[in-house]
Amino acid sequence: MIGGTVNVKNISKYFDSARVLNDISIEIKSGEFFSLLGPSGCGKTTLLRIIAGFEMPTSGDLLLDEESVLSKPPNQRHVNTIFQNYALFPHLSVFENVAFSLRLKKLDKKTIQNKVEEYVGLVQLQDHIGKYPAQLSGGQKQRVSIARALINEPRVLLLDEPLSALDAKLRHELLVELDRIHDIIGITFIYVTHDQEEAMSVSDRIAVMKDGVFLQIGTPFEIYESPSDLFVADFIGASNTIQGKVVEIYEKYARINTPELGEILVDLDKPLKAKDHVVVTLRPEKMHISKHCPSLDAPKVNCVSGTVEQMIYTGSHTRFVVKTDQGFEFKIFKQHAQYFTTEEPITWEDRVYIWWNADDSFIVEVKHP
Amino acid sequence: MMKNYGQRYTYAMLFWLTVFFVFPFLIILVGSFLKKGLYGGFEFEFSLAAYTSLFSGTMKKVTLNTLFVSVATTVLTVAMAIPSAYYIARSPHKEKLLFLVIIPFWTNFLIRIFAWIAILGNNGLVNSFLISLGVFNAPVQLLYNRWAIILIMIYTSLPFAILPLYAIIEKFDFSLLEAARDLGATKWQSVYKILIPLIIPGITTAVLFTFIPAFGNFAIPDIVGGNDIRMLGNIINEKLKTARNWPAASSISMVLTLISVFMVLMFNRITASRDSQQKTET
Repeated sequence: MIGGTVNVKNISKYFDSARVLNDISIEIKSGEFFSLLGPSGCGKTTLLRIIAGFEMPTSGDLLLDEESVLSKPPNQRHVNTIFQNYALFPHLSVFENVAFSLRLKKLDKKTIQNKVEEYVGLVQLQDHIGKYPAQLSGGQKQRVSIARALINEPRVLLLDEPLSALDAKLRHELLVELDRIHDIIGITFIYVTHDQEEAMSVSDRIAVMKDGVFLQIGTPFEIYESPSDLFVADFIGASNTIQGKVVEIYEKYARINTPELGEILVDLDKPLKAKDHVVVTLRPEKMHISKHCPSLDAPKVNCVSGTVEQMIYTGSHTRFVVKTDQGFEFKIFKQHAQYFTTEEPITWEDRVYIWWNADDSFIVEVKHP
Repeated sequence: MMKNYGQRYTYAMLFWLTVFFVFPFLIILVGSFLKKGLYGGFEFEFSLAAYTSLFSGTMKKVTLNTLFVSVATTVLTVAMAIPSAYYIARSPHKEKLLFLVIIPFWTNFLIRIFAWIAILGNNGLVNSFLISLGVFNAPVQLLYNRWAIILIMIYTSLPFAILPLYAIIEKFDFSLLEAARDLGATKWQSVYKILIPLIIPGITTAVLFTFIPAFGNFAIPDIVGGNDIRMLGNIINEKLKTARNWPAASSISMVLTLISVFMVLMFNRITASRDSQQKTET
């Protein structure tokens, strides 16, 4: 099966006088796993509901497979939705829930039986086919709703925060499963979530939304490594934000004067001039921490000293918060790559050095004076 | 400890039911098998006269008429109450609309029936309006037929049907209707296949709250029913007050009770079987 394309053209949506979507456009490719990511109230669910046909946009157009579908009710669009609260029919068994759309199509008994068994098998619920929704766990309920949506053979599957009601471990399991199903079925997935980790781990592309507009659309790598602005940088993963003024430019680096850290060196991700105001983000996992000053023969390294304020051991890595002498707080993640280490362990209130390569920071915002 | 308290509370209920339901019921039951007293009351002598009098042509006609009126009232009332309750439950102005449903209770039942005479009578609002529009030249007889009875019965029972339906629809998860639409159901299919089966308990309550009062009603047919449209309630009233035949009134009451109970059991059985059928259908 080949997935459908979705083309959102200049869609705006007002609820009374509140603007929820502001003239947004996007082309979602066939077979893509596309995520709409943003904080609650950013309009992502509204956009999904417009695609499903539950809401009408105030203006703009929506094309499914190059054909405008705004005039079609939800039951005539070749899209199906996975709801956050599962929306299983409580008076119907797992079998009947999954068979719902087939019964509406008045298919014959044998076909229904075979297809339902196939799709219930796809989500690995063969042993629960006769049960009622009330007898299922949250994860099983969501599997039923996945089978129920997919059996209708939609061109596009819409997923509205499908995992948010589940606990962390189950969420991860089901996410892997969704990815597997996406690979098997090959239809287009549009996945709405506020959880950046979920979006990062399975999406081909992510659109980061805020206040009804797209801030950035790109692959998870692009969004993480080169966020379009401070909000995206902050929303996706952890980051340190440094602001400063360009002092001078040489080769492919700029020297920036910052109030808290003095002068630091940054890689020129964007063209800069002297006296520009810049906002630079720095991912905590790209920073280094140790008790001894590193050899600073490499000119591209920025190094500052400070005191360990906080230390959170998570198993795979430790999260440090280090306060510099000027009062700036850095987040630093230190990977535990080896079991034995000759390094002296760092604890609370230790004096430490933190350093990073100038190439590892990223300029998110530039203001020309 | 908790259990004992619970039992103690039920004694009050038991006392209430015994004094106000079981005793009166037994009096009627026993009375229906006695001879009629000369000036009303009972004579303590066994007799089946009251029951043999039930098998007259008039009684048959009245019973069928009563069944027709109350079934029609129930069907129409519930058919109107479901969309009303649905609308109220989904409206942002729930409280105001519920308030409107309850307002009629502030006025006496009889006065509200008489108000309908002012509306439907020969010089009433509807007739004056239609004549002023030139639809009719002379007033049309809108009252004193069985449809007038049904109309006013619907009017009086609508709140009793809307409230239990509202209570259950208000808790209904409307995203289920969206899910049904999403899976290819038309609006009607989503209502018929999802909403209705899930609000059956509310429909059952609404049906009982409408049917039982309608079946035993005598005030409405008395006031707007005219002479030849009589219901079982009217006959009981006549036997008791005019004919002073208490055993006959009692026996008709027994018939009324039995038919009501029978209808209720039948209805429960239909809805219960529908429910269990859905649960076993795989």
